[in-house]
Amino acid sequence: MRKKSINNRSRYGYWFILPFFISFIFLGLYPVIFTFFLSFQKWDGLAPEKFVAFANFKRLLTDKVFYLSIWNTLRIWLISFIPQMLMALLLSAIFTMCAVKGMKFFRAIFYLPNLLTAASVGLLFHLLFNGNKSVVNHILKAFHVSGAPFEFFNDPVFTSNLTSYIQWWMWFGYTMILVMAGITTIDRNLFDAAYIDGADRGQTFRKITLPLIRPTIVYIAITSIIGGMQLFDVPSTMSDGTGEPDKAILTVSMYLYNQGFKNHNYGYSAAVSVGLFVIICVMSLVSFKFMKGGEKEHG
Amino acid sequence: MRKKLVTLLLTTAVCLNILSGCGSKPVQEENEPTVQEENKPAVQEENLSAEGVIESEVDTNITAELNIWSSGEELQRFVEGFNKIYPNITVNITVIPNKEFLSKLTPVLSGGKDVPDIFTGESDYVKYLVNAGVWDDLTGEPYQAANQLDDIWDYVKDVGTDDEGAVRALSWQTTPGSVIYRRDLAEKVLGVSDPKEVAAYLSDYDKMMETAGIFKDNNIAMFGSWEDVMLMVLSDRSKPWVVDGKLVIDPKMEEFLDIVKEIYEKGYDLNVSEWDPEWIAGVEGDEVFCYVLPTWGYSFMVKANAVNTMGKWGLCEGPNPYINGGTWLGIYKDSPNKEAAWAFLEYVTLNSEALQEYAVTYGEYVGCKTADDALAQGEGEENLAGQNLYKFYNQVMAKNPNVTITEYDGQINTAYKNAAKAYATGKVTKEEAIQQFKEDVATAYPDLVIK
Repeated sequence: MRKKSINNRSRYGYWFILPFFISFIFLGLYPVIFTFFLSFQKWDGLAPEKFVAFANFKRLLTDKVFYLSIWNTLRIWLISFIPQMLMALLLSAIFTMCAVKGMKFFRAIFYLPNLLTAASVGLLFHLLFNGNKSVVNHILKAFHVSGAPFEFFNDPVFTSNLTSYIQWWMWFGYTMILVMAGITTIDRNLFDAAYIDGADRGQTFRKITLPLIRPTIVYIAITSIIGGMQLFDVPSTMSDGTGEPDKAILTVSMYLYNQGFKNHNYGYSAAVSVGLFVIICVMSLVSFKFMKGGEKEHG
Repeated sequence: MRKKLVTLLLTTAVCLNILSGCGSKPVQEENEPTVQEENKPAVQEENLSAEGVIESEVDTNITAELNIWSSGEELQRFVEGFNKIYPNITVNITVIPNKEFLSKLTPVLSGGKDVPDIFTGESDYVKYLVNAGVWDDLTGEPYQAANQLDDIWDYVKDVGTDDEGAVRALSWQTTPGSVIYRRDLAEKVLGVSDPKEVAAYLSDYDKMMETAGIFKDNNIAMFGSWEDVMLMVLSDRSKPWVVDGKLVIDPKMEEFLDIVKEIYEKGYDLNVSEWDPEWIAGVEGDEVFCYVLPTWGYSFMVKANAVNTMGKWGLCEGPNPYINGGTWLGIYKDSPNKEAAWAFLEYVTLNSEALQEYAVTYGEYVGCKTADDALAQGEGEENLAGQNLYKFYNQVMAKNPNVTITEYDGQINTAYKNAAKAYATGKVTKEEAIQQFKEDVATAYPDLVIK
């Protein structure tokens, strides 16, 4: 009797998750399938679609701008991700090992940038750096820096790195909180045992903490790759959607947006989207492989 | 464990629902107008009753609810006057910023559901909408507007007409250009301030650059941004960007690259883009001599921001007459409210009295010739030290500035600006800049023939 009621109750679960799956089918799955369908069509958004077989993909494989956008996206991601991870590890090590006064306050402060809308952050940085009379140029001139005022947004290297910096600034707090969460799941006895055996803090961090939070790190890496490859708002608002200067911050998502909504090549835009999908799949698989290898090694 | 799993799934479901809800329904904004109430136009009772007589043959008792999507706030300004004639037509205007307009409109159009009865199209993409045939032909049934179009400036008609000659969109405005200059700075540097005398310093592009040098010697930037000057140069071409599916780079555009380089190297502008805060702030400072902008640039930018410089502005002609920009509106071909939609479109674009009233209140140059002629007889504008802008723009329109709008303009102009900037800043040679431009156009429009 008791068993039955538990079974009955467990069925409620399906009812509760049903709304999600219904909306997922229409708002998630359908657009995905439609994108695949569109990638084989030529469509300007208004006239009827025309089937063109693999023409869009043929063009994609020889499209210099597509490759450039992949390189831009990867570069911007990598330059923001590595420091982000290092910073998160360092801060979480400090916060978990040492009794820092006001730790909660700092943790909140570091997380704050993540709460801002990416688009407004892009605009904010654009305002800070754009033009001879921008805030930054004013400050540089006040300090008599030679060469000021600078044309920051005329320099592709600077603009790309600024984008990475913004991504770093927005996300290191979030990464730090995930790493800290990972660390708190580790059994405290392991640390105590290590200290009794004479290990110092650095050793326990390297030999106990790092290996045990490996799944957390891989999780962060995978979600960061997926998010990073879809980077759009910050570079778009910073360059008014163009990815200039010299297409240095034209990311794949911006390119597919421009191809679709600005050039009205919706079919080709869908093909770019499928290309991006394949890249993200491959990169995620590589990360999974990496995680499995790691588990064997330490398991 | 199972309980935990259910909790987890529930949480995920809720979160994802929120996410997908936010992400995929951007168009479902409130249909309420987001426009602030503007100053009420001073409606003259005599005018209204006169209109009543004119409109008496039309059925003013139509009952309908019109949904309109507009990229600007102007249409809302007509609603009050319109409702005095058609009290039973409810007008819901949704303002969608121009940058997002097409990305919201095209999915709705391709789905064919919840399409607004009337929607606007700005000059960058109006031809795309006109040629796609998504707007009804206004010369056909049930509108029969052909005999009413004589009073409309040719520019408005031509741009709204598709390749087969069907008039699909009209506008309340027409947008000739000028050099909007500071009278006080002209007096100080050139010793003259009258529009005709100042125009003599801008009679051709060489002369204009010479004048820019004189201003530079006085620590004044001639232009707000070189991008303004491009608006004028575009009308100096004899051919648009695309003719018969082929990209055309007019020699005038190639010459323009050198103008941009000179402006950049010699510091003849503020070294910012149009609509940057610094560009706008230039209106109130003493560092910029002029803005090369059409009607909308004067009313929305210069006049709207001139407080300390109020009354110090003048309009004169540059090296060539030009016309640029504008917003058109048309009726969706499958709208269920065509009669009501036509009543509104007619009121906004063809009703000379309504347009005069609008122009008096908002100072915009309108698309109706009789309205502009009537306004040209009136008093001048305070901000222009008494100059009558309607009279001035009528003169520009009389010179028939070259109209070169194509459906490709938005993207091609952006690509050209990028190429010009790369050349001006010395990153590439002129040939490389033009090559880069051609590649960018090919990337955007692979079907165009580019040589």
